[in-house]
Amino acid sequence: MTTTKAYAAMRTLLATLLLSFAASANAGIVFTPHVSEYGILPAGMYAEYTLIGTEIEAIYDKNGDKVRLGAPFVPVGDSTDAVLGLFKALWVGNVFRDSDIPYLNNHAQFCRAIGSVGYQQNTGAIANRVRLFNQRPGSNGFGDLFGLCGIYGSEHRLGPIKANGLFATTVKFPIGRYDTRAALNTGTNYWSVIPQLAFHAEVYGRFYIDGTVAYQYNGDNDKPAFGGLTPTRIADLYNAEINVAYKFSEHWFADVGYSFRETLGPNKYDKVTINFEDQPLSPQSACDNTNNGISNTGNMLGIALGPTVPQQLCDNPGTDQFYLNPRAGPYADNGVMGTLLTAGVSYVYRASTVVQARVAKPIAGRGSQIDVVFDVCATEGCTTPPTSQVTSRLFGVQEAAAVSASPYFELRLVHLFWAP
Amino acid sequence: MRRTRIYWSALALVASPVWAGDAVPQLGRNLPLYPAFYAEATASVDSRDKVFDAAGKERDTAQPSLPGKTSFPEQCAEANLIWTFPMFEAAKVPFFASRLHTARIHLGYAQTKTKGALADFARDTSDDSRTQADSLETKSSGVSDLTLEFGSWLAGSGNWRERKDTPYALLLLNGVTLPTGIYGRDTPANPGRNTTSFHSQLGLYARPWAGAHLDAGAGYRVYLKNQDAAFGLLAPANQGNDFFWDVSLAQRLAPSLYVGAFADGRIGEKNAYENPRFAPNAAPPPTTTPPSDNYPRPGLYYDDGTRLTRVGASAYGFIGQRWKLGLHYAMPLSGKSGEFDLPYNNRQPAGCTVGATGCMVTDGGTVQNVDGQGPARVFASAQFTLSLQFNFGQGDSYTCIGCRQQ
Repeated sequence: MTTTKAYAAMRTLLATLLLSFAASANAGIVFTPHVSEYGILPAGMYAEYTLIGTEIEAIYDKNGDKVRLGAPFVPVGDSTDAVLGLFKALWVGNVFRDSDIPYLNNHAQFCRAIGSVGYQQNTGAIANRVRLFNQRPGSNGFGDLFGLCGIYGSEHRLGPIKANGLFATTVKFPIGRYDTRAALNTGTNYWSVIPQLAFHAEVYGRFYIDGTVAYQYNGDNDKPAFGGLTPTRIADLYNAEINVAYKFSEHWFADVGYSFRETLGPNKYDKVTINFEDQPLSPQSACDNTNNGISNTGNMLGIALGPTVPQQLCDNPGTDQFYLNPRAGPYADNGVMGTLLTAGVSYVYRASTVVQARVAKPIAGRGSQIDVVFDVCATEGCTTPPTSQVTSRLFGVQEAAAVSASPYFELRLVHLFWAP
Repeated sequence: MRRTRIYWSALALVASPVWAGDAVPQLGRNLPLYPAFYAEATASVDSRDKVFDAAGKERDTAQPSLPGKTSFPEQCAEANLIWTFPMFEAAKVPFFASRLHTARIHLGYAQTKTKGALADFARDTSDDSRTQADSLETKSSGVSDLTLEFGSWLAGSGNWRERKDTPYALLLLNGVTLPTGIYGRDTPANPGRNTTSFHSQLGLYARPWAGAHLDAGAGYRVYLKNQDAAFGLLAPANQGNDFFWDVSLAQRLAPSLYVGAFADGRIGEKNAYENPRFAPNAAPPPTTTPPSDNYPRPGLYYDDGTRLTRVGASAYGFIGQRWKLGLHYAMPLSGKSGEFDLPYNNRQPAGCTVGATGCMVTDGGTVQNVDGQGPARVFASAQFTLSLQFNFGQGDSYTCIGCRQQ
C-alpha cells in the first residue's frame, strides 16, 4: 500500500467514524406550549406528567439536509431511541395579595419546577460503532432540573377576545446525569437562563391561542462529552412558538402548533479528543469501518464521501500502520436551527385532569458539524511530528448540537392535586 | 364507617416487580380502592451475596464461576404514585363507564455495588483493552427504571359509590417499563435494565373470612432488546420473557394492625448473550513465541433460563387516618441463574487482525458455566422492605360523597 493510498484510507475512515448522533431532547421539548399553557390558572398546586418517546432515524446536517443515522455504514433500521419522562409541579397564587406593592398585589404569580428522567440509546450497529472509540452509546437517568417563576399580566377583553400576557424566567440547573464518555446524555452539564414573554388568548370561547418568545442564555460546558463533540462554548438560542387549539366540547380539544429555534452565532468546540481506542490503525480498520455492514467486497461507500478502499488493501494489514491524534480545537459550527409542527388532542376530565396525546414533526433544521484536524503519526500519541494531517467533518452531538429530523410522540397527564 | 373506608383506601398497591429490588406483594393490591390519589414510598435492602446457580443449587457467592466470594449489595428507594378513578361516566362509554380503573407510576433510586472476586477482576487493568475488560467499574447508583401501568377492574368495582363491601375483585393490569434507570455499560450490577418491557397481568382479590384479605395474580412480561448489554456483554442482550405470579394472605389482628404471608416468583425464558467480550473465568492464552492472546468466539449464546420462588411475611400498621406503614421480609426458596458455555479462540501473534496474512487462529477450548450478569443473576439472599403510604383521599378531584366502600 502506498502512503498516499493509506492516507486516503484514513481520511475516509475519519469521515465515517462518527455517526450522526441525535440530540438529547430537553429544552426544545420542555417549553413547547400546550392548550392554555399561558392562560391565567386558578390558584392551586398542579402536577403534570409527560412522557415523550422518539425513534430518531435522521438528523439535519450543517446544510439543512436530512442525514440517515449512521448512513451509509450501518444497515437501515438502527436508530437513536429516546424516552423522556417529565415531572412538573406548578404553583399559582399571589404572595403579595395582602401587601401594598403595586401591580404585584393584584397579579398572580407562578413558579414551576420540572424534573425529568430519560433513556437515550443508540441501537444495533450504531452502538457497536461507538465502542470503537471507547465511548458509550447511550445514557439513562435524571435529566437537568428546570425552575421558573413568573407573573401574569392583566386580563384584557375586546369583543369576543379574552387575552392575557405573562413574563417568566427559567433557570436550567445542570444536575442531570452526564457521562463524558457517552454519545448521548440526559443531562447537559451547562447552565441556561431563559427569560420569556408569552400570551394566551381565547376567541369566542372556542379558539385558544398560546404563544411565546424566549431567549436562552447558555453557559459554557467545561467537560464536553463524547470525545469533545459536545460544544464547550454553547451559542445562545432564541425560541418562538405558537399553539392554536379548538374546543369541540368541555372535554375535547384539538390543537396544532409551530415552534422555531435558532442559535445566535456558532457553537464552539475546544476540547476534541475523539479517537479510535485501539491503535495503531491498519488499512483493515479502514475497510472494517467503511465497508462493514454494507458489503465485504469493497467499493461500497455508497456516497461520495471520499475514495473507496479496495479489499486487496485491507488484506495486507501488516504494513503502513498509523496513529491518529485529533487537534483539540477550537472549531466552530454554523449554529443550529430547528422548526417543529405539532398536533394533538386533549381530554379534560372534571376540570382537574387533562390527558393529551401529541405528535411533533420536524419541518426543517440545521445541525452542527465541524471539520476536525487529525494528525497522522508514526508514534503513539503523536510524540513525534506528524507525517501528515487529515480533516474529517464530524457531527456535534447531544442537546446543543444535534437536531433531530424524526418525529416524536408525547403523552401528557395534568392533575390538579388540591382544588382551589 | 369513615375510618374503615379510609383504612381501605390506604391499602398499598404495588403490583409489579421492578428491577431494582423485586417489589414485595402487598395486601389489597388487587382491591378496587375508592377513587383517589395514593402515594407510597418504599425502601429495601438486599445483601445479594448468594445466588442459585444454573443447577438450582444455592451458592454462597453471587458469582459461582469465580473463586472467592462476590456480592452485589443493593439499597433501593421507590416512589409509587397510584390513582384509582372512574372514566367516561357521563358519556356512558361501554366497559369503561361501568367500572373503576387505575393508573400507576413507579420510579425508584438504587445504589448497587460489586464486591469481592468480581470487583477484583474489574479493577485488574492488565486485561486486554481490546476486550473492554480494562475499564470495568464496580459501582452504579441512581434512578431506576420508570414503570407506567393502566388497569381496569373486570369485576368487583361496579356501583362503587354505593357498594358497602367488596367480597371479590378481578383486575387486569397492563404496563410498560421504560429503561430510564442508570445503567453502566461497564458495571455488572445496575439500577436499570436498559431495556423496555411490557407486561400484562390478572389480579384477584377475595375476602375469604372476616378480617382476611387474599390477593393473587399472575402475568407475563416481554422484554425488548438491550442495545448496550453490560459488563463486556455478559448481561443478556435479549432477556428471556418472564411469567410471574404472586399470592398473599393478610389477617387483621387489631383495628390498626394487619399481618400477612406471601409467596411470589417468576420463571424466565432463555436469555441470549450476543458476542461476549470476555469471561472472568477464562483460562490464560497459551505460552507461545511470538506471544498469543485469546478472545471469545463471536456468536449468540443462550442460558437455560432463570427462575425464582420467594416466601415472606408482612406487618402493616395504620398511623392516623391517612398513613400506612408496612414492614416486609422476603426469603428466596429456590431459583436458577443464567449460565452459558463460551468457546474461545487463540490468536497468534497477539492482537493481530483476524483473517489477515500471518494471523493464526486456533480453537481455544470452551469456558464452562460463564455467569450471565444483570437479570441473569437470581439471588438467594433475603430482602427487607419498609413501606409508607399516604392517601390524598378527600383532597383529590373526585368527590367522596356517598361512598361506602370498605
